[in-house]
Amino acid sequence: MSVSQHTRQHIPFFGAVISFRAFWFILSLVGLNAIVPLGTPLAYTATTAALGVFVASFVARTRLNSWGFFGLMSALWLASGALFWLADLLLADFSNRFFLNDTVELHTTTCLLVMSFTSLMTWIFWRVRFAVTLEMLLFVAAAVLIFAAHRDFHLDRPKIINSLAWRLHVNHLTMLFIIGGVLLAAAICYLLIASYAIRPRVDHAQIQRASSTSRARAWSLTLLALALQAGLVFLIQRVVYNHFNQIMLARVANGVGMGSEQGVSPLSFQSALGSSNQPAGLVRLEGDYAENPFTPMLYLRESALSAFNGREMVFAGRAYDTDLPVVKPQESFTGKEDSELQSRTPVVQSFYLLADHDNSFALDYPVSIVQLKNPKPGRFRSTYRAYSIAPAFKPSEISTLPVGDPRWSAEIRQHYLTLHPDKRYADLAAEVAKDFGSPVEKVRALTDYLSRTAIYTLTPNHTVQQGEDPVAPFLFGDHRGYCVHFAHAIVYMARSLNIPTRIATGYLTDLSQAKDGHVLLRMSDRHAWAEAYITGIGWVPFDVQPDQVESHADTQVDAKLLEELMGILEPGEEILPPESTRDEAGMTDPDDIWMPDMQHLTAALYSILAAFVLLKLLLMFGWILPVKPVTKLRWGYVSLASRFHDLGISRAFGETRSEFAARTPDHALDEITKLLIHATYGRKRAKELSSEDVRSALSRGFSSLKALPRWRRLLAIVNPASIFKFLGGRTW
Amino acid sequence: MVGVILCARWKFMALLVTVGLVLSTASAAKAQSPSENTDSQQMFDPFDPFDIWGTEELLGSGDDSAKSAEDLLREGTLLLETEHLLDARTKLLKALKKQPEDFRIHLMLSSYYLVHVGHYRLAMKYIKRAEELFEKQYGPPPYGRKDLQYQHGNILYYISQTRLNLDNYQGALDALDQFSNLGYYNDWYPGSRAWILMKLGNIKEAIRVARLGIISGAEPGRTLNMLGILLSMNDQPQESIEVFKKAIASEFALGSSGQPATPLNNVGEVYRELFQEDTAESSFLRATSLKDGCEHVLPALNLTLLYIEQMRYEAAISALDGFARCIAQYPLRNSEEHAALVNLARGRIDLHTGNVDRAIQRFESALEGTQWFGKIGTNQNDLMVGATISLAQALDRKNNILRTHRPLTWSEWVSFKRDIASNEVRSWWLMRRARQMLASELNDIEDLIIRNTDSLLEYPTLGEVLAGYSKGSLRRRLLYQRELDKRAPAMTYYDAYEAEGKLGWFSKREANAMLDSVIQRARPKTDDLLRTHVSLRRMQSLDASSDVYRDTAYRIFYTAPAELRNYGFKLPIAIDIAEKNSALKNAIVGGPFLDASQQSNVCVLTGGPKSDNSGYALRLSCPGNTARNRSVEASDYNDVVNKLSDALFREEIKNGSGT
Repeated sequence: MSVSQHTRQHIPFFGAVISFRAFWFILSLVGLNAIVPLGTPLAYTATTAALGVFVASFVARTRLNSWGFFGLMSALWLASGALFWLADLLLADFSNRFFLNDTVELHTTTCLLVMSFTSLMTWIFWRVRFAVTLEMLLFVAAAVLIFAAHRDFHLDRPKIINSLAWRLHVNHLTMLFIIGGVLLAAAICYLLIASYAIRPRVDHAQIQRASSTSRARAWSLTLLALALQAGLVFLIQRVVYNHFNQIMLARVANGVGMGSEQGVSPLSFQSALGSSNQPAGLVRLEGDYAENPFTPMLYLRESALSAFNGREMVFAGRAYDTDLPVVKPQESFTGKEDSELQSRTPVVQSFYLLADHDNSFALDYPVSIVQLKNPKPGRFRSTYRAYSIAPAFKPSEISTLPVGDPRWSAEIRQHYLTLHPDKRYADLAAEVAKDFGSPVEKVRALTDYLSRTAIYTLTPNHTVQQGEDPVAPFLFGDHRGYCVHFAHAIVYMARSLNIPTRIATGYLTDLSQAKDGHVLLRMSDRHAWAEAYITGIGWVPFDVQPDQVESHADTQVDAKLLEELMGILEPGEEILPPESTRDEAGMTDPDDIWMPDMQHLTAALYSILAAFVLLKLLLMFGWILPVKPVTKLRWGYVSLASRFHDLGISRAFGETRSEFAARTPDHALDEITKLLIHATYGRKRAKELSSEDVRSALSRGFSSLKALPRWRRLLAIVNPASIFKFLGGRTW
Repeated sequence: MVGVILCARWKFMALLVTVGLVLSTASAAKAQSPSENTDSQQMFDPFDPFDIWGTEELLGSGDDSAKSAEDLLREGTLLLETEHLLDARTKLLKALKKQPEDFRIHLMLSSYYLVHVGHYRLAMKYIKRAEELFEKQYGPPPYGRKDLQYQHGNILYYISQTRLNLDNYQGALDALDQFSNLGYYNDWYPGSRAWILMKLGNIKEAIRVARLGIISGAEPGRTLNMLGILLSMNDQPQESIEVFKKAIASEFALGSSGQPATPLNNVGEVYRELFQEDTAESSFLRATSLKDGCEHVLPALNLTLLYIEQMRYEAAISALDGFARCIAQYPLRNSEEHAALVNLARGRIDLHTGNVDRAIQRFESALEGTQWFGKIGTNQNDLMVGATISLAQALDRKNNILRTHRPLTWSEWVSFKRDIASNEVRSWWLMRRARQMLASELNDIEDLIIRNTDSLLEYPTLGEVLAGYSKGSLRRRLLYQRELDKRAPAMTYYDAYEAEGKLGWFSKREANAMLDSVIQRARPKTDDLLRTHVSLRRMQSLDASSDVYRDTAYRIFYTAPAELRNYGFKLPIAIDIAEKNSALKNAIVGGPFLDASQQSNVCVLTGGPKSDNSGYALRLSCPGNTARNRSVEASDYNDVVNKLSDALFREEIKNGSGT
């Protein structure tokens, strides 16, 4: 085979690789533009990206060396600079716009930047053996750079992850997992296509294709890599992903978990980095709550830990803390109102949970929890309405009140006063509260003390051995900790002052970030706080608000998401049909990511699948339909050839049909090929062809097929290769 | 920032109109069915949040599920009027469930979301549905009956206002066109139309509409205010001030229902444009002190920007804190509403006081934030450009700080180098992007007119961006601006820009002469930030060992210490440390300090290893300004230098709650 023939033969491969690269660069550009707007229309930058690939590929086929190529690029930049400099000098009055020249220059240099990058990468690709390794390194570096924020559980960075996760109804971690899997698979496929073993090589004017052996090896390696990736993804999904997803789903977000098992604590002392901006739910206040004594904060209680197990506070079980409903969000609950409690007001709240929760939660103590109609089951995991008897006292009113409930038995009272064995808690409490008389003032003195001295950090990094007190290194050490440490310290100290206390867990949210009484709860709002029982008032939060903050999980509320969720709630589309505002501008967020309608997408996928099946049937059995022998012959040949193609036996480039027929197992195509050639070119004209001859030739062909192993024939049936060949318009 | 015009009167007016409309029809319905729900009123639900003491007679008590939609609507309306907003919303939603085809409930909910909540998309859904239902009930317009005309006019008004809030100005105008084409008229019409025309850039027509409105007796305060804004935009500042004065008087005359903060803020903006800063400041202060002014970001923001130009950062923070405290009183709105603008302003304060990391976070938040601009004069492009430039400057300043920050470990050294490279690229890209936006989206830097009220640019430091444009383009643009602008103080700014441009075009001598002239001409106090910025630019050409450099450095160090390090300059000091501590001395000169032991009138740095070998201690004494004396201690000689530079060049200020 001469060089020119060789080159011509491989030009399609060469073209395919170039097109694939151009497509890949354009795709990357679209992604980049979504994260960092380039300011220049995508059509221009995409065109120049593709141009860079094509020009560099063309130049790579010439005798130009690397210096020449770099010279060419530099000349392009210099020419562009000179052109704009001249334009600034000479075309001053050409336009009535002062900065037209600068505007064009800025757009041009953006395009030149893109083109320089793509052409440089393409030049290296064709000329350097390890180019793909370099590209992979760049690819990994870019991915690391973009997703670097996730190392601290900031799973919503870049913002596009947030939007994608929300659109696909998955959480951020799942979205990351999906993106990671897709990128890895894409990288493997790219390695296959672009690897030196497979891609055509440019040797000056010639294009050489890799040998079939090395191609086969590369294919095998790629398949192996994909299989390994699938295994890896499975393993990660089962072990790592599930573990972190559990954390994400608030098992220990902000150090505050959800369990309510007797004798167990859902709190974690080691690190609170499990928190994220992931939305946990939406709370809607159904009425004004102007009497809120903690304005603008809202404490939503989920559970309480009142038993001390020698090491930490744990859930005491149903015999204590009877004000808690402890029911799943999918369950209803009816409790009894405590009529002895003063300064209370009924507050109705609706909850629309976006993440799984073990228990329902509500403002102070709910007397009733009822299920709500879920306005969007795909979006909300569960919905319920809570009727709470919420506190309505003024903080100054409780200062002199006694603590504890006179109705408690001695055993219950002792339960809430169980002391920590470490005397230092009592000593410190006595010292801090020595100047205060009433129990309430004393607890306030304790919280004020910690608010002044504690340093809020999500990573206290205390070394605590099994069985050791995890609070001591905080309170008697560096004072670095988070809500879990603060709440424990207050409870231990307050109990030493004979004040009944416990730890409450749930959410702490800021109503100043609410809109229309709707609060978006995030996992970063998970909280634990100390509570003391004030006679006639009930359990009252005494929360530490540290002045010194080293790190915090607090992030801005996603206002767009909040508005979108508000739009989902009642009254619903039957009352506010979307058609009413279809033509209104500004009704959708311009930053929203377009996502195809899943129904349409599914329908399209089914249609494609159906078309594939039909085509396959046509290829396999299409010969049955024609009546004219010559048409039946042609379709029959296609049917047999396509089946062999699916079995991996294809006519090679430049091979005649007769040569191919001689190569088929048991010369299966010999007879039909002869008939076809005769019918087309030979003396036996098409009209002289008899049905008998055709049937016999076909029968011979099909019976030869049957000689092949059954598993191969079955595999061939599902192999779509013949469909692609048919769609590509290539001859059989 | 011609802004607060519509955020005042229209709310109350709209609400009153709707409440009146609903109550009149609801009362009529109630009168027709006096015995309705008699049984249900005897039921008692302890969890009914609408059981408000003292309003039982008005609202009726009992189970809402047994009440008619008419009753619920009436109660919801009353609750709205008595500011029980969440209760009102729940009542109205209950009414809507019972009577989904009643346009009045949709109208009330639209008003609720438009006026109280600021959820404009939801407001639009309700009002469009109300329009559909109205037309379904009474047929398409025109209507012969007066009451129907009145109701339909209100629907059109709400549509117009909601579209305006959604930044759909043409749509808002279309709704008003429909209103006038149907022969409707109301007091608010001229003011609203003029505002929308102004947003569409049709100033002349807007002035005509506003003048006609005043002649025809339209709501005086609102229309005069609108006219004042338009005149100021039409380069008639003195006339606009006179009109604003009338508007203020007119609003004050209305007593508690007046909205004087709006024209007060607007007249302050005109004074600021005229470089009458003291008068502007008092106008803004008065606006923020009024009930109707404190809830809006613009008076506080204007005041903050004014203080920043005067380098009065604590006063600037106080202005923003005042706004934050005020907005916290409105339970239905959240702080997100103006977060972008507030973050931008707070970020600039952080930047100029050396808290660069926090500034970067705030600018990034400002760029990410959502801000509706329908009710204020500025727009998204202004915000984007302002925040982009500030972020680019902050990244550049961050690099200057990192370059003089002593790494404690090798890994820190590597991470500094990496950060410097990434900040450099980001800063370059953002500046470039800002120039692109200024030239394209902002039409050849239409905001170049100093203190343009619509703009969010920081004028004293704008030259830094402009210097990136080509020589001819910028020269021609500045020439054109000088011809247009007749204000003498503005010329100082244009000269500063030209000088900065020349610095970038290798015309250093000419540039320095211009910079010197700008430093001389900049007005004390009011142009302090400009003078500081230009002085720092001038320092680039000075020999670091010269007396001029020393004097300039100390002048800046005593007035704006953070800026010296921010711009990458070193402070000349006399180092009085024993020769044997060469590592410490090297660390000091490697930090933001210059060994000027030979010079007089410089601060003296003393100290060294502590006597007990537990670390290092340094003390800087400034004979000229003892307030700048600082002492620091650390265990490492590099760390002690870092602590000293932070103590000197970063002002510890409490600027908001952090991001």
